[in-house]
Order: sequence, then C-alpha cells, then structure tokens
Amino acid sequence: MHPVHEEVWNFLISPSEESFSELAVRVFLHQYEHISAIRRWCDRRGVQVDRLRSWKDVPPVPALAFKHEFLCCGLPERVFYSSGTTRGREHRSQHPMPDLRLYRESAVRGMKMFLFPDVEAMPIFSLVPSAEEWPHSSLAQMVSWAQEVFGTSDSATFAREREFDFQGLQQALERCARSGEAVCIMTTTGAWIRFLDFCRAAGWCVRLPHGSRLMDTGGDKGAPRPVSRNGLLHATWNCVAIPGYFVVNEYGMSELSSQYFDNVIANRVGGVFGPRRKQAPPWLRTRVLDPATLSDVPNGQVGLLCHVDLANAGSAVAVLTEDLGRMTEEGLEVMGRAADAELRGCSLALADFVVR
Amino acid sequence: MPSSGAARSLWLISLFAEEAPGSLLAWKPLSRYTVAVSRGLGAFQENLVDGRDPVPVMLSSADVGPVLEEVREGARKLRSIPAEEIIERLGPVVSAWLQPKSPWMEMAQARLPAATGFHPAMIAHALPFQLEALTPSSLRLLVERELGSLAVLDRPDWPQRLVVHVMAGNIPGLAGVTMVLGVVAKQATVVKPAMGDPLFPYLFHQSLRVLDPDLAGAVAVIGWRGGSSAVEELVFAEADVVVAMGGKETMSALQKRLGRKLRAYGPRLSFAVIARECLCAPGEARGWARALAYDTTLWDQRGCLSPQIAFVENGGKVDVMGFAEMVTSALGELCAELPPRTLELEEQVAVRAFRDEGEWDPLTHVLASAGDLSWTVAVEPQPRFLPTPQHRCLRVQSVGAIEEIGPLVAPHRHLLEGVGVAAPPQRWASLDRWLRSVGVHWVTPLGSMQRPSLEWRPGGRDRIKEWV
Repeated sequence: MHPVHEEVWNFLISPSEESFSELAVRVFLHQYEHISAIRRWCDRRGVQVDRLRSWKDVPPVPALAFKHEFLCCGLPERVFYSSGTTRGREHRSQHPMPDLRLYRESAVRGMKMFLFPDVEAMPIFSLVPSAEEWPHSSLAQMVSWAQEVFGTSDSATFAREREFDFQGLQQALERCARSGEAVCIMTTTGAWIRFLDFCRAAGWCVRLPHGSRLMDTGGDKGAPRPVSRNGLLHATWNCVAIPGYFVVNEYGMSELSSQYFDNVIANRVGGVFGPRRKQAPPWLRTRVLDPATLSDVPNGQVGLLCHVDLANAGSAVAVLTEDLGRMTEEGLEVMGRAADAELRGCSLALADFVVR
Repeated sequence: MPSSGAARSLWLISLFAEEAPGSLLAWKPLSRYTVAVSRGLGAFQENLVDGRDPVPVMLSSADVGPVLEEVREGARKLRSIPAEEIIERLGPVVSAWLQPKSPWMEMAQARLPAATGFHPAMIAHALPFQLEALTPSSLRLLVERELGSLAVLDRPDWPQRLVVHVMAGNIPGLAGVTMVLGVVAKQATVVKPAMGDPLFPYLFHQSLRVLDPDLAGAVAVIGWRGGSSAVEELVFAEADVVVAMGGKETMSALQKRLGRKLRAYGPRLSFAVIARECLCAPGEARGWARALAYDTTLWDQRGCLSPQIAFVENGGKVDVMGFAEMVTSALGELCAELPPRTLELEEQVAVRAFRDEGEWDPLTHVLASAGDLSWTVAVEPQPRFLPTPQHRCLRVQSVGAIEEIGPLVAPHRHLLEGVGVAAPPQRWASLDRWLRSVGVHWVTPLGSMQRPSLEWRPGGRDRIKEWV
C-alpha cells in the first residue's frame, strides 16, 4: 500500500476530525503527482498546488471526468462502471481502484454506522445481482460485502442479470416471519417498487419481526413509476411491516468510495430525535457550492454538491457532482439530479437527445 | 366607501382609458365571458399593482363552459366580415404595439421581465420581432400560399373549429402571432399561456379587445395548470384541435390523451453554417461572428430557431479557433447590451456540466466567460450533432465542406428546424436547396434567425391549414 493510502486506511480505522483537512490535501497532492490527467487539468487552470491549505481548497474533479479519463494512481485492482447513461452521453463513468481494501473498509464501516449499529449479524436478502455476476458494479460489490460481514448463513440474493426472483424473496421473508428472526433487505429503489407492485397484485403481505430493515438506493431509476419517499415508506409498511425508522436510503455514486445513509436507524439507536437526513462517515465531507462561482453557499442554502472522500485516495479525492442539495445541522438533504429537470419550450433539450 | 374591488376596477379603467379614449365602450356589456375574464383580470391586475410576479389567471371549470361558448359565438360573427377586412383591421392592432411609445409595449416591457425572467433590455429589443412579421401583406401572402386565395376564408363552407393553443414558455410574444392568425382564419381561438410567459397573451388579447372588440370576441385566454385539472379536461374535450408546443415528455403525454386532435410541435434544433469565403477577410469574419453571437444571444438561445452548433468550413484565412475567439468577444459585448436571464440552479448546473465536459475532453477547447456562466463556446475538433444546454452555450466545429454534415444530421432529420447561413451570394441558392433537402424548414442569413417571417413553416407544416 502506498504510504498516503495507508494514512487514509488509518483514518478509516480511527478517524480524527482535525487531521481530515490536512490528509485531504495530501491525498490530492499524491493524485496530482501520479495522475497526469489531473495534473494537466490543474496546470491548465492555473491551480497553485503548493498553496492548498484546507480540504476546501482541493479543486473538485467533475464526475463526468470519469467518463473521459482513467483516473487511477497506479494499476487498478478493479474498475467499476456506472450504470446510468441518463444524459445520453457516449461513455459510461469508469472508476478504477488501485486498492480495493479502502473501498471495502469504507463501505463496511459506513454500513455498520448507519445500517447495523445495533446488530452483529442478520439474514441479508438482496435484490441486487451478486458481485460475481456484476463484477463492475460498485453497488453489487458493496452488497456482497454486507452479506459477507453482516449476513448470517441464510443470506441470499434474489436477482440475476435481468430477472428478479420475487417469489423466492417472498418465501424467504415468510420463513423469517415464522422464525421471528429480523432481516435486512438491500435493493435498488426501482427493484423495490417492482417488488411492492408484484406483492400488491398478488395480495401478498408479511409481518416481518421487529428490527427488520430495508436499504434502498439509486432513486427510481428503472422503476415502473415514480414513487415519493413517503409513498414508498407507506407501501413498505403495508407490505412487509418495516417501519419508516428502519428504512434507510443510501446515496452513493460509482465515482465515490464512501456513501451517505439516512440517519434514522443511527438516530434511533443513539437516542437522537431529529428529522430524516443523510449522514456519512467522518472520511466523507461535502461542500455545497454556487454552480456559477464554485464558492461555498451558506449553510441551509441549496447548491451543487461536491464530495471530498478520503477513501477515493486512488482516483480523485474531491468530486463535483451534478446533484443539488443542502446541508443542515442534522445532515445532508439531496434534492436530486439537476439534469432531470425538463427544459421549457420547444428548443431541444440535451436530455431529450438520445445518441443512437 | 369604495371596496377594494371597486378601487381595482377604477385603476383598471384609468389604465386603459388613459391610453385609448373610449376604450371603456369596447368592454362588452356584462356578458358572462367579461365577468369571467375580468374576474381573472382582477386578480391579475392586483398582482400588477402590487408589483408581484403576475401569475396565470386560473378560471374554475364552471366558468370555462360559457367562455368557450362565447368564443365560438365570436368566431361565428367573424363569418360576416370579409377576410380582407379582417386583415386590414388587424393592421392597427399590430401597429399599436409597434408604434413609438406604444403603451402596450411599455406595459409589456415593464412587466414581462418579472414574469419571464428575461432582462428588460432583452424584452425591449426582441419582443417587437414576433409582431413585426404580422403585416397585412404578409398575412395575405400566407393565406394565399396555404389556401389558394383569401376568398376561401369567406366561403360559407369554410370550417370553423375550436382551436386550443398550448403555448411554450420559452419566448414571450409568440401568442400574438397565434391570436392574429386565429382571427384571420376565423377560428374560435383559445390560448393557454405557459408558466414561463404567463402575461403576454393577456396583454395582447386585451389590446385586441380595446382596439377591435369584434375580432377579440373570437379569442379567449384561459390559464390552467397543465396536467389534468378539471378545466383542462373540459377544454380538451370541447376542442376540435389542440396545437401544442413543448418538450418531448409533454408532447407524448398530450398525444396519449388527445390522439388525432393534437398538432404537436415537439423539440427542435437549429444550427449555423459558415462558408469559407466569409472567413477570408478578418473584418468580414468578425461581422459574421457577431451575427452568430447575436442569434445565440437573443432570447438566451431558448428559441427553436436559436443556433446551438456552428459548422465552420476550413480553408478561409481565419481558422475555426480564430473565428470562435471572434464569436466569444461578440458574445461578451452582447452580454453588456442584452444581459442574460438569471439562471435557475438546474440551468446553472447544466451550463457548468457543459463546460466541464469540454474541459475534460482532451480535444475540445472551451472558451467561457470568467467568473459567471454568461456564455460558453466549446470548440470541438470533430463535427458531431449534439445540442447544448442553451443559455448562450454554443458548439463551434470545423468541417471540410458544409455538405459534409449531411450524414451527421440525417439521423436527426425530424428534429431540424432552422439554419443561419453565412455564405457568398453565388453559393446561397445551392446551399438553400441542399439544406432544405436534408430536412431544414427555415434557411436565413446568419444574424436574422430570430426574426422569422410568416414564410417560415414551423416544423415544415402549414400554419392555418393545419387547424382545419
């Protein structure tokens, strides 16, 4: 492991508030040195790398740079690809990781904090194809690690490349309901909406034991219809009796190695009363920027999200998204992708334009 | 003690009486339509007085039925007026807007910036362009071109329909054209203003009511929230034809509901071509660069005739990079004259992404305004047919010869609208022919893309004939 990666590793094991800023700068300088695309880009923009003092000084690499450049310090151990081509661009994002251990440690520790703070292990049922089947999906990898670390031997996956085994999942859930063993379901939001529709059509529902939980991610991309968060919580309660405070929405991107999670389980376990917000482990911090000037907006104001993720030590530590959101005392609120907004009028919108 | 309602009507009276003596007589006696509309206008004017952003007037579904009936009745009355006379009588209405110190235009200039987001200078500069085309002679020519002769409109068997126009909010002023053509065609015309331009249709209709109430009787402006309100159900059920402009999703949603009633004008893309002969002298090149920048700047590139890509021919003295730099300096100057709209967050992100995309594409060169998102030019080495996010974002691409873009645009034939051409006179005819053969509907000299005459057939379709 490169010394800088090792420092990040140590930070993941025992995070310290004070060293985040300094470490973020060091990680960036390491990337500047080893990734020629980042060096060229900074030099062209006149970034004075020796003047960077705080994590907020690190120039953010736009997420779409992952489509054009192979951003990797050294040889990649694995390359993850994004699923989305929401804007009809030619390329998918590629996120090469020189050291998969950082991603694993970050993901596992993040899930411990926000998904499993109160349990050692439970059956984990997944509607995401396994990492073996989808080796290039960072989500599939994360879920597989979750099953490995937090899953009991009953854990199972009910998704293949293009099909879901909804009946299999129903039977597995029924078994848990009978045995009284709490269970965790991990799924994309779209697949979960499909499952709920499937159950409603069949008139099927189950009462899962208390402590059962759901992690969904990815917005309603691939969903048969859009469903609001409240609608989803309601339907989930009706179908499997998992209450809202055990439903955690994960917000991640294939360009990052760490994730945001709804704080509901962590709050409940920690005895904190507060609204549903997204929180991240201490090695992921987020700036909210004015899109025009890329300077920070005041707390509570909506802006463009820029994530600084130490676990991205092998690629780009600061990533500028196209997501809008705002930061409050309680955590992050993500408003969604700016590109999803429809343009007014008859002039052709970029989003409408599908490259064949 | 006058109630606030009475005070409001007094204000309303003075507003119109002052500028057009006797205009009060033009208000129809208290028909239900007047009641409905003035009730709407009351709320509308109140917002004007308060200086708040005007909002579309929302009628209830109970009001709408009688309004539609009155519009139909108004259209029936047009039967007794010869088409020639209608066209003559529309002249003064349009002139009332275009004359110096026009009170209508002044009111539009005062209120449209808040309603649409466009800078006051942009409204003052570009709003007249929509109306200038509506001269009596060009209206006559349009009818003759589409129907053969004006007399067709006066025949007893000339069909009269209830035509509902769902406006797009990208450019204010288009509703003026719609209403004038509706009256010329003697159709019962209902205009639904867009959220992006909630005000102009009311103003224009009001001017028609004041200046020629008989003609105005065949037109109604009704606002409702698009989607599936009771008003929308009712209006669409009563309509014979629905003419709608807008994005892909809106169009497909309407298509499902309206089927053959719908005349859909979906999203379109326009571009510019610059011949090498125009790049031989730097002075001339600079002139064309300014023309391109001007077409891009007008309405902040939100029109379907706004160029999003410029194909520049190789072989002139000024190369593509040099030309792009000329365009950027013109865009910068125009920002001072016609400042851009304040962009919404999503729009800002789209421009930011357009810039980032160019900066990370190793072969693309991005030229952009410093410190803000006013304008962006991406100089791309390989020609490719891809739109920009609008908001004064332009792709400039070099091509060996203009005709080389044929295969590029062929797959997108159904999306093409207009082309601004910079070419020497001897190439004009062949370029015009060739561009039309690849599917372009409007070919015009660069610098005049946003001032289309009535000869432009939007979407390659007739205007009046489409409705009947």
